[in-house]
Amino acid sequence: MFEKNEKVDIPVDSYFSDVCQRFSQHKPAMIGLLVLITEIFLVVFLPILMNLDQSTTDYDVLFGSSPSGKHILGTDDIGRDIFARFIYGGRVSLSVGILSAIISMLVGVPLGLIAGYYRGFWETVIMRSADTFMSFPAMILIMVLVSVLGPSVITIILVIGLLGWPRFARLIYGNVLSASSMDYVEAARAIGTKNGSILLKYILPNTFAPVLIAFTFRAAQAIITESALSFLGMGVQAPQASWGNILYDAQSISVLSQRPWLWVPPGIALVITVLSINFIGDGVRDALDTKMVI
Amino acid sequence: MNKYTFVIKRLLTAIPTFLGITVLVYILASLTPSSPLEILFNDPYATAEEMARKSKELGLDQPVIIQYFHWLTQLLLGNMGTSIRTNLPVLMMISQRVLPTLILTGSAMLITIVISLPLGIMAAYKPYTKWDYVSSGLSFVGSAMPNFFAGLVLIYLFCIELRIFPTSGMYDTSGARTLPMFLHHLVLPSFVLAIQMIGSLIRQCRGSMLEVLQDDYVRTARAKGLREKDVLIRHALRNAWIPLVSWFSTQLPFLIGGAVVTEQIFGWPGLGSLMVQSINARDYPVIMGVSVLIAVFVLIGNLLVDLLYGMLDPRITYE
Repeated sequence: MFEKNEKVDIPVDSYFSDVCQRFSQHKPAMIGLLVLITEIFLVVFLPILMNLDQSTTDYDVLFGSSPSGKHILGTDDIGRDIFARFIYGGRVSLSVGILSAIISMLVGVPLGLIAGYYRGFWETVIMRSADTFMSFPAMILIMVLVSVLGPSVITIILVIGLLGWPRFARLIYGNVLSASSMDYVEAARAIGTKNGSILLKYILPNTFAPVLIAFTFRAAQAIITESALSFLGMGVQAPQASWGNILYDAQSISVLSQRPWLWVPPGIALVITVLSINFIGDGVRDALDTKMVI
Repeated sequence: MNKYTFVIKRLLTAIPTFLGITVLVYILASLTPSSPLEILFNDPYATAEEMARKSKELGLDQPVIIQYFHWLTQLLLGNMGTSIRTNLPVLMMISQRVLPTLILTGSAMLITIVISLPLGIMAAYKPYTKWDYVSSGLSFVGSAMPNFFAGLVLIYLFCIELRIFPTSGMYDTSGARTLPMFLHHLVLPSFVLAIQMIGSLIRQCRGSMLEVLQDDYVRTARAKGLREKDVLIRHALRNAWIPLVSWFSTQLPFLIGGAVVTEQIFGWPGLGSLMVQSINARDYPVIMGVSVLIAVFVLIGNLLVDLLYGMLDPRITYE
């Protein structure tokens, strides 16, 4: 009766396309994504397109000049183009956010996997240290570490990244604990699958959603931390610009009151960037339909 | 188990975390050119020979673990060393700074609660209405606003343009120290410190109230004919407290981290600005002292939170 190779048309929506569908309907998340992508394009290509220079003094105009055709946002106290510094500062902020969140994830996820799967001694060591790290203000550890190791963009990325592991570890740990008691893991164990492949093939994929959400919040947090550090003068050092150290100059009343074009753009850019990332995180959470709160 | 044994037991479990943090601080100090013990016993006037003799006395030739315990004993005995920058005992410098920081963080927390709870409750009570959108919007912007930028904006608005509040310090330069003057100086810094927490608490409160409002006892309370105000506050909020209290304990480290930045902007003479000055001057005795003290604060805060759980929900027994 049936042809051997007859195809039955059942609409198959894969989990992934389903999630994408839901994500694309989340308006704030889509706006956030659009803003972030635009920002990345601007900080990558504008310096080349406009031939921007963040560190050279322009002797042809007054130091601390107001916005003009030549310098869109004017110049700072030693004659550097503020718009160039603003754009280069964006490079720093965005790369600190993304790279240090990746480092936190790369350290935290394996540690959480080990703690949750092998239990016993390593569980105690890893989870106790996670508790210790999380009960101490990270800002203070970061300030001290960066000053001891010497402030540069690389050290800042490493320090913020390495100190961000506990949240990922805790998240993964909880997920592994609940996944370990699932029947499919028991079944895999019963047919003699090695521990390593159980972890990578059966347990890790289940932690994808919470890790992705934690990643966005971590990136936002890292951007705020770096800028706060640079604002205090302990982070990215001149001549290299960062949104935080541009705002450092605004701590003087005269800059604050008379040259808003110097400090308002980086501040607003920070808020918009963090807001966009948070919106994306929110969209991902709704799309993946988890109830997690960070 | 009664409350007192619980407190004692809880204090005992805080000890490993405290030790963990002291190890962390010790490791941090070991990354500097001089060892933590030298930092503790620094003497700016010592000659090279004296230094050599001293390092032997201190046991710097002994294994690190013994050095650590030596350092820890000194710390527990209250010897935090002498500041390199000011030559004053660290303990004395720190003790002057504790109260301003406690007042600043305490009032920031108070502002957060007073603003966020009503907004969060209303957002949950009327979800997907104007109320909800306004408070959710506030919460998103609040959590995305770095406190130093908020500080600059508020200083610009209220100190430079409107001239309502002073820009820095706890008192003005007249020398008089009155309470109204102090409060006048406190308003801006504590509000700036509160902004990020306000954003986060609104969201937390909305989420936790939304869940509770669907419960049966809320319907029962309404069916009994209670006024909406009583339903919300006496029945719903009472049960939504627990996640809010745990929110508080996760915020504690962020609160202190935020205080560092806020104190620096407003020249508030607390532990945070002391920390910034000390890091800039590489004044390691003070850095270590403040770090250890902050660890103690966080642990005490967490203990208080655990006790609060029991007070808010009698069903929770101390175990």
